[in-house]
Amino acid sequence: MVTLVSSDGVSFNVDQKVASRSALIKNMMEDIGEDAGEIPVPNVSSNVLKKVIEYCTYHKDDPLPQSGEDEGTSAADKKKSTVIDDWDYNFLQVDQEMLFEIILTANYLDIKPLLDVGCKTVANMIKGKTPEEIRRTFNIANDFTPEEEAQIRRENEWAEDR
Amino acid sequence: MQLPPELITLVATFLDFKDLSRLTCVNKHLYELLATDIWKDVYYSAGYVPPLLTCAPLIQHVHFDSAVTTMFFNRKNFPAIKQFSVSYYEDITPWIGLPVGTVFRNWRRDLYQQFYPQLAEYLKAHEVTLASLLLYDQSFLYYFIEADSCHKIERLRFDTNFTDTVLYHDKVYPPILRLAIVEKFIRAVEAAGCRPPFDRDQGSLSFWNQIEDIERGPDGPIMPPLPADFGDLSGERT
Repeated sequence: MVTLVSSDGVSFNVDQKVASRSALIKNMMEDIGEDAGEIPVPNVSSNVLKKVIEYCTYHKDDPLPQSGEDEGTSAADKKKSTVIDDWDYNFLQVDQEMLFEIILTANYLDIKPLLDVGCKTVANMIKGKTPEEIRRTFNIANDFTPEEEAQIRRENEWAEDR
Repeated sequence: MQLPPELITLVATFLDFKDLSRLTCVNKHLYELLATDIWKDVYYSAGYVPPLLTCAPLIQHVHFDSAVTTMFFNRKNFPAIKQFSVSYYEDITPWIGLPVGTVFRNWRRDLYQQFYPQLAEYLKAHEVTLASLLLYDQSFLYYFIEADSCHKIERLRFDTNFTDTVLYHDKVYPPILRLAIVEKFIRAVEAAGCRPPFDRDQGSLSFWNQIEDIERGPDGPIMPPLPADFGDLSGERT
């Protein structure tokens, strides 16, 4: 077992196999050895860390992604599929703030499958939406002047025809 | 909490150009972020086309994947391009749904005959390199020889495993002709003081074995006699 300590001081006892889903923690455990003891996760609050551990526990037996696995060169590789399996989809049915925190934590802890599925979730929230719909979805203020916005829309018009 | 900037660039890899283009219209921050982080390197492939007027001046590298086009050979609209790369494969492209017949074959031939000469001339005329080029037919190197831009190709690979020569061209180039073109290409590169842009340990081994089998004299390879009807190297021009 290894103990992960969140930024707000909450300890989570986690099976090493579960913790190893994070490449960062896996490397730390390898460096420290069997007596890993407490590993601080200073950038992650307890409620987010709890969710991330839930994901890692569910996926603990999945094969680990190989380094460079995502470096395909074909168009199909570059524009990756945004299909999400049912468990992951339900797992990420959280409010936006939590979703962003989970993705940032996955990035920080180097949990690539969680990072990918989180980014796919956000991508699916953007796909097919107009700029105004995207603003509403993510509560983003429009700081373009009307002239600037009209200009950018004109510039992008032809892409819409494709 | 709003979309953190570091997330946008990660999420962007799952969006196509149309969605990215719309995202640039959301606010100034996203416009600037996407412009600097994403549009510098463009993977051009069939179906994905960047919002040209917005981002064209920022594009530095265009990778032709699954499709080729001459639209990027326009220095006025794309002044920052420093590199191209080409690595398309016919067998995984959208063309697969099209009937393979004379019309289709001629259409592809016409496309290549526009693309490669213009690419070769463009490389010659501008401070632009071809970071990598995957060719399935060595005879296309002829265009780079003609344009004196062979030395602008930084990495070159061949995939001669396709039945493409028969499939996509009216003419079947005999191995000896392919060999002659590659030798000309190598000489042109070396004449410019550069090293040939290929790795003999990779690519089509059968092809490089042919190269290795050539007897070499003090002035370079001793070419076997060419066929009497050698004709025009391009095999296409009249």
